[in-house]
Amino acid sequence: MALLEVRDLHKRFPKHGGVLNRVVGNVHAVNGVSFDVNEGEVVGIVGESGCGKSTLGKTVIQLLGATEGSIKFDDQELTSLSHAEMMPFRRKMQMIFQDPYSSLNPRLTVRQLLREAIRFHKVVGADQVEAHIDSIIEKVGLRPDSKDKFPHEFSGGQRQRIGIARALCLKPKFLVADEPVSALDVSIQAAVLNLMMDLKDEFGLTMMFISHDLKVVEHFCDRVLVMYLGHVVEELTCDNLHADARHPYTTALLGANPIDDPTQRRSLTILKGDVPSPYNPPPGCPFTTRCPVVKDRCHQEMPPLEDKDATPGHRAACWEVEGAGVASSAAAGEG
Amino acid sequence: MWAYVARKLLYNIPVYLGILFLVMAALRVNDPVYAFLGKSASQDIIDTTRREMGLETPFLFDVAFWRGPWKERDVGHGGSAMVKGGGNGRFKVTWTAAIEPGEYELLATWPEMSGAATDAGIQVFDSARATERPEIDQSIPVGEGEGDVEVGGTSWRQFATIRFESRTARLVMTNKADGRVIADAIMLRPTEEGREPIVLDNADAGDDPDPATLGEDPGAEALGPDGRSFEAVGNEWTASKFGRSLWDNQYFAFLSRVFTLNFEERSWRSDKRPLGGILANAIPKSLSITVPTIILSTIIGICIALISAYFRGRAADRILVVIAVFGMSISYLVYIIFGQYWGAALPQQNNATFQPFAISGYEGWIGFREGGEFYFTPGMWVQYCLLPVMIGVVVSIGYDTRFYRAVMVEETNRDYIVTATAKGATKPKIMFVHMLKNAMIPVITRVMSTLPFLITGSILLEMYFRIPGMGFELINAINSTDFPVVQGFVAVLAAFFIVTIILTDVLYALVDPRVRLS
Amino acid sequence: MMLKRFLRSRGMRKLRRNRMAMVASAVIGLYALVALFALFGGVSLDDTKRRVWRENTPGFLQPMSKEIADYTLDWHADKWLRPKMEAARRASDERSRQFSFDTAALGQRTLADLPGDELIALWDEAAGIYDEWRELQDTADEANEELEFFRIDLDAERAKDAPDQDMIEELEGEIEYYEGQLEQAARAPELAADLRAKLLELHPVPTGVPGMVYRAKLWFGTDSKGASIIIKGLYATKIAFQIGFVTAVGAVLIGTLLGAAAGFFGRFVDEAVMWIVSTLSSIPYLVLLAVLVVMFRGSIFDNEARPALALVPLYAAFGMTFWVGTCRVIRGEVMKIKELEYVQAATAIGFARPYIVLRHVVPNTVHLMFINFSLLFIAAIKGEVILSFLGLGVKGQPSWGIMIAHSKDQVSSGFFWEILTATALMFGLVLAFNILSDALQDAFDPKHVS
Repeated sequence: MALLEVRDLHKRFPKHGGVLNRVVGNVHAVNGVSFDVNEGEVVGIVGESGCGKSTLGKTVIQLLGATEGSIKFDDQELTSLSHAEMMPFRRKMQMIFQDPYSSLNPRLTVRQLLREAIRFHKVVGADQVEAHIDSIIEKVGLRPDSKDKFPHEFSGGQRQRIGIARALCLKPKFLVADEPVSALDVSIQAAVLNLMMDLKDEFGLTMMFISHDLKVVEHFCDRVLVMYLGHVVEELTCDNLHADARHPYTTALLGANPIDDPTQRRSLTILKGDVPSPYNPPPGCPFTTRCPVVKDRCHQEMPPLEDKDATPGHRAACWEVEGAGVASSAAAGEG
Repeated sequence: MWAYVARKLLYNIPVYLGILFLVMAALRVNDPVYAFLGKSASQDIIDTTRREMGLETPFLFDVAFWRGPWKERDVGHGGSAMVKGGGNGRFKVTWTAAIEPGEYELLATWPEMSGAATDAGIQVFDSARATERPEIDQSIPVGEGEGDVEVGGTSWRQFATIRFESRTARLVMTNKADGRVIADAIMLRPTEEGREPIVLDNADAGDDPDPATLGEDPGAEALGPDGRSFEAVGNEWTASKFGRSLWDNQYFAFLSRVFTLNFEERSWRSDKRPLGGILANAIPKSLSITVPTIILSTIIGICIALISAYFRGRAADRILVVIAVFGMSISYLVYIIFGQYWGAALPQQNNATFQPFAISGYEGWIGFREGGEFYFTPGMWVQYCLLPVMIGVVVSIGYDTRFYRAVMVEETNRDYIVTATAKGATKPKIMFVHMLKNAMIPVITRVMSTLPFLITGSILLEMYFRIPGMGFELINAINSTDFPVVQGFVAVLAAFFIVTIILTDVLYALVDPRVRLS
Repeated sequence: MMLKRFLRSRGMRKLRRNRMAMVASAVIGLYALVALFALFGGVSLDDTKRRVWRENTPGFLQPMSKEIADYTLDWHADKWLRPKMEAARRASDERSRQFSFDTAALGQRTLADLPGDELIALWDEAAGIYDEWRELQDTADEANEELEFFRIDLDAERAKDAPDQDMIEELEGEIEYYEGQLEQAARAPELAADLRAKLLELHPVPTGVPGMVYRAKLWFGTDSKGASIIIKGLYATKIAFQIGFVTAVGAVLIGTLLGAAAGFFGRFVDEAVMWIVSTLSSIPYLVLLAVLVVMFRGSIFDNEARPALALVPLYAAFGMTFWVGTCRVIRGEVMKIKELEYVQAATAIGFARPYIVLRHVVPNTVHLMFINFSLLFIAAIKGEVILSFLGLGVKGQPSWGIMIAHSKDQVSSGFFWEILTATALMFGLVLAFNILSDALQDAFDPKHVS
């Protein structure tokens, strides 16, 4: 049974205007997204900036209220819970943020930061709080004497470790990592990713890993959802990402990633044009403005996300992808 | 853009209503009539004045409404008495009786009650003529006070002896007191032997009617067929919840005057000038001070700021900054006092040959004479306005320079200046061509933000130099509790303020291509 | 704790390196000490009203011109001591005589500690010298005046085509006579010195600490009622601190709470707060202050006899007017902070929103609170001066504003000590706060253009 079930989730941000400052339109950041996350699994969310992947993550853990749709965690519908009813789930679902500089309150020391959260949820008994803080700090690889330091006394990588410690000190089951390494130097990225991998095993975490970097996702995740302009356009397992990818957008994303084997030649699709404004998306499939294989039908109807081949857990939303290995990869690959 | 302007205007309507409410409410914290007439005025004059000033309606709703009207209690003479908590005197009871002219002792009785007033006043009218307003200490129960008498089984307290010339006696008791006011029964006892006392009760009209004596006095018409009446004013109004319309109050009366641009309300001061006249007189005087001040101080401020930014970090810049900060640390008033002393008073004391400035006062220098003939005498302006203008400029230069310098310095750090320098443009060219153009936006904002103060005038300068502009009139009106003028001025000033703010935004968008109004 | 963390922050370290700011802080500290000294009874309200010497005495013990010295001597003997000593002479019993002697005290300067009879005897001697000196003075004045006329007449006569010799002789005689008179009057300075010595014996300048205090009170001279200007200045410093501190703290607190609530909760809280803010800021500042002060007329706060209460209208008016600016600034900052990820992290942990505001948002606006505090402190002090001048400010006690406003007439007669003292005291404090708030802005909010 899935730990998290998301069904037809929508998130719209109203846009105001006119003489009376009424709502004149919506920015459709998340548009009818459905997926499951199984216990112990790491699901990656990939897409360009502005595609709604961060919004999706924040909506899933109820930092933002969903406009429509359902989010079930442990078989409990979250969207209708009150602040008090949500409390046990807050402890079970935590988030790691992108920017290590703005994600830590500059006025609190590491100890205060952790103690505040631990005490609030009574994670351990009052007499064990300090011991718990010490163990968490050790686990994320910080020196014990850094407990009484302020965030500005740390480097970016260390700050991200504090952010991880803050999330893990509540002993959560589910973690949303919102581009946890994209603001870090490349040299530090690997260390933080490895740390997260270790901690995932140690704490038995289920994770949603948001990134714009397919390379990192492939390395880190079990499954990946590719998002474009609020829609999930393809869902696939990471074991054989390159071979499985069908959707023209996914293949283009894959093409944008460098490959670490110089002997392997591969085709390159370069997407033209910009992402259309989410305030005024094109009708039909949102990718039509940039799609290399666009057809008339694409302009009229949004393709559903459905199984396209025999590979389990592989779904794509494209009219041109018919069954195994037909349209896009072939078209793009030979083009 | 028009949508923006319209939205701003709409948004500012509640703000404007709030301003008018705030000012009117603040002025009415103390009953304006007492503020105007003093505490010792008689109730009659207070009533008349209240009516004349348009204050007989409540400000928004009568607070007394929530506290309830006169209450009837089943105690006291005749089985009942009327009771009302102490307050502003807007609730009253009237006893009226037809009498023979002559001297009467006035006696009152009331049931004992806790929290009774010590200064319940009864205004006595001889027909329409107000006589005395004796006060009764109702906290001392009747029968226990000095000189209390017993008549017909009831204790009475004598509180006045009045000679009535007419045939109608009217006694008005209001709730202007420090505690509960109890209106029960009044007895008029003739001092002459052989005549019966008249008892007026709240409950029964008494006995012994004598209609033959009625009809001669104006006050008598209101009497009942028995020649006596009792009425508790305020009851009818509160009985029907809004017997007085919800809109019939001072706030909405004022709003309707403001929104119909009706400036006919008159000052409360002895000259009773209409508001429109005062405004028309005062605004040009304020403008002849403020307009030159703002123009001069802006120009001089920008020049000094440019010099300062040109020599940024060097001695000249530091000295200018230090002078500006020093100048800002001295009170405006000190500049005015010494400015007037050296500019006008000292030359006059020394009988100097060169005395260009008057010590105080104002004389029209531009406008139309009564016959419609145009006149323009700049000499008058120099005599009366130039010194205040110079003082105003000196004071504001400190602030202006600091602001403009900060703007210029920030502008010098921008990349386009670096580019221009790299291209080899000369420093003066960069300063005056590239920078000044871009720095115009904050400059315009600042100048626009000072516009509302154009008509407020510089209150201090006007007060000190006794120039009867807006500020002078306004402060004098506040000091002499001349509320129509205060309210009217604030209404005009606030409207002007709101309009300039919107204009500033629009102008800003017109000047700066980057700014979009939304 | 919050303060400690603030003091350890990066901006604070930057501030501490700013030497000017440190000097300014020291100056403010010094003023605060003076204010505390006055607050805890060092300078009482009575002290500011008690006569210490004759009215409008110039300060700094500056060498006095002969005219001022003569006037002072005349005032001391004739105007001040004579009525008291004559009353003592006429006194019927010992108590009323002692009372008369007591009233002769001028601040620390009491009558000599001698038996009453001896005092009166001393006074008689002094009065004798005074009468003689006065007479000589009058004679000299008259002689000078007459001489001037006669000399003019004489010159005019001589300048005539046919001078009248008799007339000239007569005039020369007159001139000779008055010159003789003047010569006699030349003894006046000696007499003045004698009189001064006698008065010093009768009414000695105290020695030791009281003497120092007495002289200190005359440093900046006396005002038009003979009260010490420096004492008034010190008391006014206390008043300035009271007004500045109470209003700045009040306004910053109100502004921060409302601004934080508006910025964080948004929607109708924001609409309501911004409505009040726009309303208050659309009324010209001085007009709003004046109207708010008028609101308190006739209340228990409008009573000169109770100076502590009489400041309440000012606190209220400034407090209600000043929080608006702070509110705008804090609201803007909170709206920025609200979007930061640490606030989202706190939400993800599950803290209640009010807790997040107070623990995670407001502490990060402390620097703005400090900057605003120091700006509002200046504004309150300056505003007090202006309101006092308009008759709407401090009542029944000296303040810088009262001192400046009341010295209007003194200035037109050329006496600057009171206005300059008040201005100098105010200048020091306001300048220090100006420098400090600039430095605070540099350290914590460098992008801001004031």
